[in-house]
Formats: sequence, C-alpha cells, structure tokens
Amino acid sequence: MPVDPTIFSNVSSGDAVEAEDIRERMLELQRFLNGGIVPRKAPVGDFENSAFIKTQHIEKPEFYGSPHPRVESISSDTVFRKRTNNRLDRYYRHEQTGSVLQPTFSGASTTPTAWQPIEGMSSTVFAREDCTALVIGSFYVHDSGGSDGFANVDSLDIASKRQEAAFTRCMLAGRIICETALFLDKGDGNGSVLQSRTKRRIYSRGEQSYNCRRMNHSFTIPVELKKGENKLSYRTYYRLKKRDDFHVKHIFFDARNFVVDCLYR
Amino acid sequence: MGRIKLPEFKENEQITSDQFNEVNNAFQKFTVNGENLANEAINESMVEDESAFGSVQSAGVSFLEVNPASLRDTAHWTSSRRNWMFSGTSSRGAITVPTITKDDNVLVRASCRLKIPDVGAKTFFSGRTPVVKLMLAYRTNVDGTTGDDTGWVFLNETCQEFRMAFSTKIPSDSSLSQLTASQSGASIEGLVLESIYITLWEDRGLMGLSSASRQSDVDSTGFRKVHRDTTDPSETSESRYSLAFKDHNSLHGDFSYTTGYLFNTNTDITNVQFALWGSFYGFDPGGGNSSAGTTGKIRGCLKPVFEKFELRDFNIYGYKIQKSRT
Repeated sequence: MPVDPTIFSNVSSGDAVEAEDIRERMLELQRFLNGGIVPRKAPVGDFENSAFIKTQHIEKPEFYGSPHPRVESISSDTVFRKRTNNRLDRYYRHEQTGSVLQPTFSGASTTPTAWQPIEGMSSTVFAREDCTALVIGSFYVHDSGGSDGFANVDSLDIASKRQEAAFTRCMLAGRIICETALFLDKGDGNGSVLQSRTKRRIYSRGEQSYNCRRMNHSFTIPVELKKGENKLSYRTYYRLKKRDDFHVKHIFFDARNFVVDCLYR
Repeated sequence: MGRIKLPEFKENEQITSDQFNEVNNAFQKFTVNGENLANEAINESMVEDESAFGSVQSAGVSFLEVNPASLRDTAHWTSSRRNWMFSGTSSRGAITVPTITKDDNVLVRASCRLKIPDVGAKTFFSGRTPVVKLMLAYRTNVDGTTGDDTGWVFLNETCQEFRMAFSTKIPSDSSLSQLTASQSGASIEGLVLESIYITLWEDRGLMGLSSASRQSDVDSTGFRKVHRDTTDPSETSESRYSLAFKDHNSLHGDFSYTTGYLFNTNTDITNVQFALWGSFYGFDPGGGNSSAGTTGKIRGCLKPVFEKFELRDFNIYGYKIQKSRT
C-alpha cells in the first residue's frame, strides 16, 4: 500500500515539525520502499491499473543473420540453418574412387572421422549455461549415377539377361549406401559423440529404377549441452563396398533444415 | 505519478509549510509505472528457473518390434489392445509430464525410423503391400493403477501413413518360363515342360521344378537354373522358398517419422502421458494358401504373411511451456 497519509500529513503555516515527526515519516518511507510496493487492488495499491512494462524494460531478443543465423533471448536461443531445394544448394558426395574403405559398416559407426558433416546441417552453439537443447533436422536425399552393369542389354537380348539386369537393380534398391547421424562435441574432451537415435539409412535407387527411394528424412532429439562452445553436426557415412564398385556413385542431399533450440529458463 | 521531484531546501532559508507539504504530496501520490524502472531493471538475472520452460521429459528405445493385429477395417484400427505399440510395460517409451495447469502448454515431439519389411506382398499378382500408421496418443491423470491400454486419446494431427509401392516376390521355381523348362529338361509329374502342357501349369496347381533338376547346373549353355528371383542366389536348397527368407528381400521400406504436438488443457491436471501408437492395415497376400504347399517343396512358397514392422532409433520428449506462475 502507498505511504500512510496520516503519517505523511500536511502541516500548516506556523506549525512546528518535531524531530519525531520527521523520524516517523522516514520510517514510513522506509517501509514503503523496502517491499511495501504492492499491486493495486481495490481500494488501494501502488501499481497502475493498466500494464506498464514496455519493451524498454525487457531485454529484447538479438537477431543475427549470416553467417551464423540465430536468435538469442532470455529464456532460450535458437540456431537455425536452411538450404533450399535448389541444385546450387545441393550437397553431394561421389566417392567412386579414392574413398576410405572401412572393414565393416558397423566398424565405421564407431569412427567419427569416417562421417563427414553435411553442409548446412552443422552449427557451433554457445550455451550461456548447461542446458537442454532440442535438435530438429530434415533433408531430401537420393542417390544417382549408379549402374546395374548391363548397359548394353536392349530389348532384343535374351530374356534371362534382361531378367538378371532387372534383378540386379532390384537388389540394389535394397542396398544401404550411406547412413546419417547427429554428432555432438561438448568440448569436454570426449570429442564428437554419435547420437544413436538420430540414425537414418539411405538406400540405392537401383540405377534410378526405384524413385520411391528418393526420400525425405527427419529427426528430432533432446541433447544436453555444456556451458560454452558445443559443436553439433549432422553427418553422413558413404558406404562403398570396394573401390571399383560401379553400382553406386553420387549421393545428393537437397532441401535441408537444421534447428537447435536451447532452453535456459 | 511515477516520478518524484522534490523541492530543493537551501541552507539558511526558512522551510515553508507549502514546501514541506510538496514533499508530502509527492510521496502520497506516488505510484509505480514505467518511469520508475530502468531499462536494465528487468533482465536475464531476474528470470527464475522454469519460468518459461519446465523440465524436459524424454524416453527412447533403439529397437522395437511391433506386431499388432492386422486390421483391414481402417475405421476401427485403434480398437484392438494388440495395437498398443509396446508390449512390455517397462520399455514402452512413454513419457509423463507432471503438474499441468490450465495455462500451461506441453510441446511434445517424437521421431523414429520405421522399417516395413518386404514380405513378398507381390508374390501373387493381386497382392498388396501393407499400410503402416503411426500417431501419438495421450492420457491424463495417470497413476499407478492406470492400465496400459485405457484412457488414451489419439492425436489425429500426428498421424502418418507409410506404404511401399513395390515389393519383391518370395522365390519360387514357378517362373512359367519355357526357356527354363527347355534348358533344364525338368519335368513335373512326367510331363516335359516344353510340351504343350506347359500352359496348364497353373491349372494343375503344380508349379515349379523338381528338387533334383533345380540343383543340376547347366552353366555350359549360359543359363542359370538358380533363378535370379531369389535374393539369396547362393542358396540352392529348398529352404530358400521359406517365408523365413523374406528378410533377404530387397524392397524394405525405411522411412522417417517425425512429429510434434502442442498440448493444452483448460483445466488443472496431475500429469499427462504421451506415447506413440502404431498399427497397419491393407495387407493382401493376393493368393496362395497356407495349406496348398509346404515350405521348401516344389510348389514354391506359402502364402505371404505380414506379421510385424520395426521401429528403430525411437525417441520422444516433451516439455512444459508455462504461461505464468505466482
């Protein structure tokens, strides 16, 4: 409630103001300022009836554009990346020759350096404090350029050969040619750690016979970030069985989205 | 009045009652408003924990096999208990967000990899691949006595359906190829297959090469009797016709399911629980009969069966978005 008007009473000309009167007024003022300011409820109160907190009283979000687009605010930060479905924005891998061969696919899963970040799906996030971050991503992916090895088979060739070419393409449609997964480096000395529940598998189209293998993949997962710099990257591992493998050639990653939401309070 | 301006009292000057009362009036009429607060008065350091976001509840399972009932009736696909995605109560992957007021929202997200096995749905001409449905569901005020399959409300906004356009076939020797017959010299029930009776194979219901002729190679002619319709060419024994070999088929469906939902209730509740549910419908083997042949015999495969699908790398999480707290 506001200051007591009986204490803060007016004086008339000629009145003497005693020291005690001054002291009472100071004590009442002290009570008021030390936690005595209360919201206005009929009939008394100190806050205005209408809302008065304006933008100037609130620390407004900061928006940052290229090259590290993000929004920083009080309760949360959002870091985002976007690549359009434009061939000029395409990220591609083609490792027909010179690839690093892993003994087994599962072996590669434990070797972070075998996984290459997908352009547009990585970010270094500076966390103001330890927090939970929600990572969301999506991408459109397909393979291209692989061959069934029967390039000269035409309609006049013997049936069994055409059948075998078709069979090869069908088998290729069941072949996993690369795998994708999220990696997180908290800067705690453990390096990039695979977040296993973000794995996605990409299949061959079988010399472009099965367009159903052109697919959009997506994921969402919460991760715990440490205060300071955290490196998040969504990576791919290209699976090439042997150096002269002509069945697979290119991997195209088109439209891509990557969002990191840090929740602080 | 939010801003106070007091009169200045100078040394050796008499303080009049009007000047003294001016000080009084300033304090009597004082109210708090935007003029009292500096720009930095409300800032990050004054934001209490969980003022906007509640703690994150999450659950995840690396691998789940889902074998719900196959229902062709899409209208009642949720009615069966067997549609419940997780059979084990301890690993069903549900999350429970506590203490929700009418002003709170709960944002829940989930994602997983969905693998629909290629069981050879197109082994027979009219066969159809299955449609798998996934969606989130919730229930409120869950306690220790609440059953696993009661009180769930489905969130249709999170429903997605998945289907593969293609399917391979369960291998068989019944290629009905005259070339096959002539090259192999195989016979069925004493009939030379290149005879006019070849067109009667299907009528006779006896399709396929004999076990002995299947395994006699005729590579010298350039013809492979190990038919390339099997996904495991190294396998020449009769076991390759088994439905168990369907895992060698190549056209598995491998999809991503990612969804989100903003939950709000207009009443205070103890908690809200979210989980992912799944089922399938529409599978049609298109023919075949489980009694028409036995696995591994020359009559080829049995009736294709779709039993289950798989969820891998499943995770679900939710957190409260709190409008206000007093």
